[in-house]
Amino acid sequence: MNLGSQPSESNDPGRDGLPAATPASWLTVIVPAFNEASSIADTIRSIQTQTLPPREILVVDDCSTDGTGDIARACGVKVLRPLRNTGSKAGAQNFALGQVETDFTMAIDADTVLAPDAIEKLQPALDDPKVAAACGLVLPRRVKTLFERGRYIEYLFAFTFYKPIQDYYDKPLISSGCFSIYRTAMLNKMGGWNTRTMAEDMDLTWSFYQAGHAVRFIPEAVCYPLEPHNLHFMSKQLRRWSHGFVQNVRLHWKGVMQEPYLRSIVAVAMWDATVASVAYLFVLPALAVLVNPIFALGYLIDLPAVLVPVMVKAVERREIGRALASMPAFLVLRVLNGVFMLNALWAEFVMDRPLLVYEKGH
Amino acid sequence: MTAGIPGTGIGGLYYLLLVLWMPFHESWLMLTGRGRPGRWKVVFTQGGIAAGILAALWGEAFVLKTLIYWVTFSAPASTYWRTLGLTAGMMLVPAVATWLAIAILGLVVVSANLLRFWIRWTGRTIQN
Repeated sequence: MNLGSQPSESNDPGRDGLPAATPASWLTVIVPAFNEASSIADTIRSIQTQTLPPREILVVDDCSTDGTGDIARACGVKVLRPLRNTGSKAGAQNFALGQVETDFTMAIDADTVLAPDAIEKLQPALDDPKVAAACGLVLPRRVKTLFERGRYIEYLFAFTFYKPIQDYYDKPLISSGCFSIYRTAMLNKMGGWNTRTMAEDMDLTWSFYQAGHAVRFIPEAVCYPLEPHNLHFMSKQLRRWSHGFVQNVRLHWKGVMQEPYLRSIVAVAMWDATVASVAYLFVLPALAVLVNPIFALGYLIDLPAVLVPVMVKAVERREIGRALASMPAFLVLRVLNGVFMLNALWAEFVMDRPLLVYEKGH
Repeated sequence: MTAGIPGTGIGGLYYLLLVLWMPFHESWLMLTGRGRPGRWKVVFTQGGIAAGILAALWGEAFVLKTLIYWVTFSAPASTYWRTLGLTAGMMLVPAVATWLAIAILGLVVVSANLLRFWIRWTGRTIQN
């Protein structure tokens, strides 16, 4: 890949003593933002201080009422503001996509910060011309509340065990919307981020596969989003994610079935999501009450299997205590996941009542 | 389990089997000149995690079995604990659960493949 301006040999110290880099001409970053005054400056700074910084950062201030646009402008980036709220993250991203002139486009959430070398680590994956998108490892920035802790374990497990396997077989299930780099031409060919589902990142990833493109997962490129910290915001996010998954299965199932490995990954995920939800919410409690309390152990039976990948990553990151302390929260969160997944399956498949309104998760 | 999507049942088993398949897949890619640098590292890393998971599950089954055995035979006859132990001993049979999970996984994967052929076949029929 021609990177245009390569990182300079300058001795000017950057963050953590790293040499400052000259902006590379290959990448534009789009940051969709709606009322993100408390986090937007951190996000922008983390992009500006990358070891391989982008050419331009476009913040889409989606008609915020908390001064998000002013804060972004004060950070020295270009701020775009549509006349009316676009209604979704995908809408805000598309609003900026027309202004992208670089070969690659990065999408990052306005509540997400990057590790200093995240872009540099992700960039080599895009050398392969077949690769349309590349994503990195996601870990919660704050791990304090029950919900943040539960999500922390989910991420440690999924990004340590499932996602590298999916990547090995060239089929990451999803190029995470909170931090991904896309080949601009391929992104434009897809019409940008589609607003037809609640999970525009999954929609785009599966569309890329069906168009014959590849997607990569690079675990060394790390980002840290703010995860929902209470039940109110977690509910909004889980509603969106579960409906988004079901909507994408409904929309893409014929195309997905033609993709090696992806068809099995999606079929197994769909089965597990349905059966596990029914088991957690109905079967296990009923058996424990009506037959034998020993069945309550069903909630814990897979804990050793979950613990192994979680601890592998926790040891690597020296977060053993945090991971162990977060395990009980994971047990709670997955039951909550079950509630929202069943609700989504019922609403989308049985009642034919799709979720159409995008609500932020924090 | 993907974040937000519950379940580690047949999904976990499916990914374990994918890891077991990796060395054969990678060897085949190498032999046919399609190997990529760094992929063996993934094979070994994920293989190590998979081995750890299997060991942890085996350890859990062993502890459960020992515990149930102990509860059943140390409790006096006709007591709640004896009944609990006997029922658990009959119902928590790891071998049966494993074979059942493998059978369900096979069914789901085969169904997905059959669906793929059906979509192709009906698509072709419509085109004709």
